[in-house]
Amino acid sequence: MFHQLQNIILIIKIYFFHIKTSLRKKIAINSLLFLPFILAVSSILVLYFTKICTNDITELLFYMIHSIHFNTFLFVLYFMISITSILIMFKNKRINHILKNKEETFNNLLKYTAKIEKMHSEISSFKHDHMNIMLTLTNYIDTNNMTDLRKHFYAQIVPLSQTLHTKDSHLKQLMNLYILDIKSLICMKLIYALEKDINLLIEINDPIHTIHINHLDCSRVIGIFLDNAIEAALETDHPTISFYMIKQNDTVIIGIENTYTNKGISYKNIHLSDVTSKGMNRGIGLHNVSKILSHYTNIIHQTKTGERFSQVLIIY
Amino acid sequence: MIKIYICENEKAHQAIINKYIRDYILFQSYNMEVACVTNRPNVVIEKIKKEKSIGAYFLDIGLNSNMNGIQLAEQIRNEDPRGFIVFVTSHVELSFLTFQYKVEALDIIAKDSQMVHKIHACIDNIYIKYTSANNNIHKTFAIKLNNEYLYLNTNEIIYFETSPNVHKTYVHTDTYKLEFTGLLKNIEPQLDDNFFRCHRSSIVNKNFISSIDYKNKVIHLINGDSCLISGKKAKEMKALTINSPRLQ
Repeated sequence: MFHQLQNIILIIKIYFFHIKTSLRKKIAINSLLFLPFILAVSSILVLYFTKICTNDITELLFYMIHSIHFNTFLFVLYFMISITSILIMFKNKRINHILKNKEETFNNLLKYTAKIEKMHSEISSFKHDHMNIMLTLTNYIDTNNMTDLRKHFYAQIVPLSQTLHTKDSHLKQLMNLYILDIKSLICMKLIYALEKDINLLIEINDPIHTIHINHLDCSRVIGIFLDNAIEAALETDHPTISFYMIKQNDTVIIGIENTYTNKGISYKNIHLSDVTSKGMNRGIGLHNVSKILSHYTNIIHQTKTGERFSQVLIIY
Repeated sequence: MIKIYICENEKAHQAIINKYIRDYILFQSYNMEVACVTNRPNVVIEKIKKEKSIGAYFLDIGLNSNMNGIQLAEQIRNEDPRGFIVFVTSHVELSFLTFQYKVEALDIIAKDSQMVHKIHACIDNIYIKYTSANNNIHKTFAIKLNNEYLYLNTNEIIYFETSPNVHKTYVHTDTYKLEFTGLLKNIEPQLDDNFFRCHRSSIVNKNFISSIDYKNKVIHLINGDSCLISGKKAKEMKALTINSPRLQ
């Protein structure tokens, strides 16, 4: 009897092992739902073909054998149902997580389009004013009225051209980044920076469709860099952040520069997990970046200090 | 003699920029001359193909031609890798960091009231760089990207160090550190004898050593960092320092 129990335990162990590996590999858990049935059937078969008791005791315990079998069957059934429900729960959790991510991405893109539309309407109204401006200038020039022309120009026209370059105008550079999940994360961080009154310089001059790094990893790393940049810049009097993406053949270069106050931590140690300018229990971001980038052989990571603090990734 | 090339598609601006540059060169008596003023980018390329000396290029970006200023700059870079490229443009929103990276542009000047001062500053900068560059030939260390190389000046590199991440190495200079994929044993042959493999995990540039602590087997560098030195290499180092009194 003990021998057979051992077999059953072995089957159960193998089953759990399969669950673990498939969860790790994120294989569709659907296929595993069949296993409880197989387990139930096999254990019942094992029991029925088992000689649990010798012939002598069989007679005495005759009724008990059937009870034992029945109980075992119930137990296995219960076991099977609970495993199945756990698996379904895991699957649902995973689906929910993915949905949440998609929703966040969508919301960020909505915010971004709202900003763009606002800028577009500003430009439309300027186009509208342009006609009036041309008319007044033409009038002054035709009547050869230099003094009034000069006065009007410096009083009205020059200030107008300066209002066009608002701090929002750099956001449209993001148009050239066609990778949506990375774009939505960058939007979110940069809009947050704009709301905190950080001076933003964005440069993405070339259309970027592909990048040789997993998009999720890329978003995480850029997110950490931008968080750090925002936090450091806010400690200065004139917070400025530059964000650029350059494409050269197949290589993409991503750079983030920010103003900062020098707290004496050398760029050498800043990636170690116990070195940070932020106090206790914080500041593991750059260590995480190091861990994420360690999986890639095609990325160069440069940390630069000087007038600005800069992080550059070269992905080839 | 540095030859200056101006490529600008509006006649009025051409004349203004030409005048500013000519006047300033005369004023400073620099060894430069304006060799070409044109609105056609191909003219510039034809001229520099025949020319062997280093040039300074003042380019507009919007050229209304078969190529724009950036593409022209890329072509100029192919012919004259050491030349000085300055963009003079009304498109100030089009950005500078990108150009600096791609074509190593020296500066970007907006066509506004400050233009004349910025042109003067650029010419000074070009002159200083040219006269100092003539004295140094910089050796470079190349990191291989897919089909291209990233070049670092070896006289800026303080030391190399292995990274805790697999197959990766750090290179340290005065202002930055860079992590790339590479093994020290493959890097060592590329370097000249300014560099010394002092430990399994480090290669140091002897010019940047501030002191060596033989007792604790540590080398201190002038930027405050330190590297390990192995026992065997320490003996080699001692032998070397006996011969050069500067490294003590």
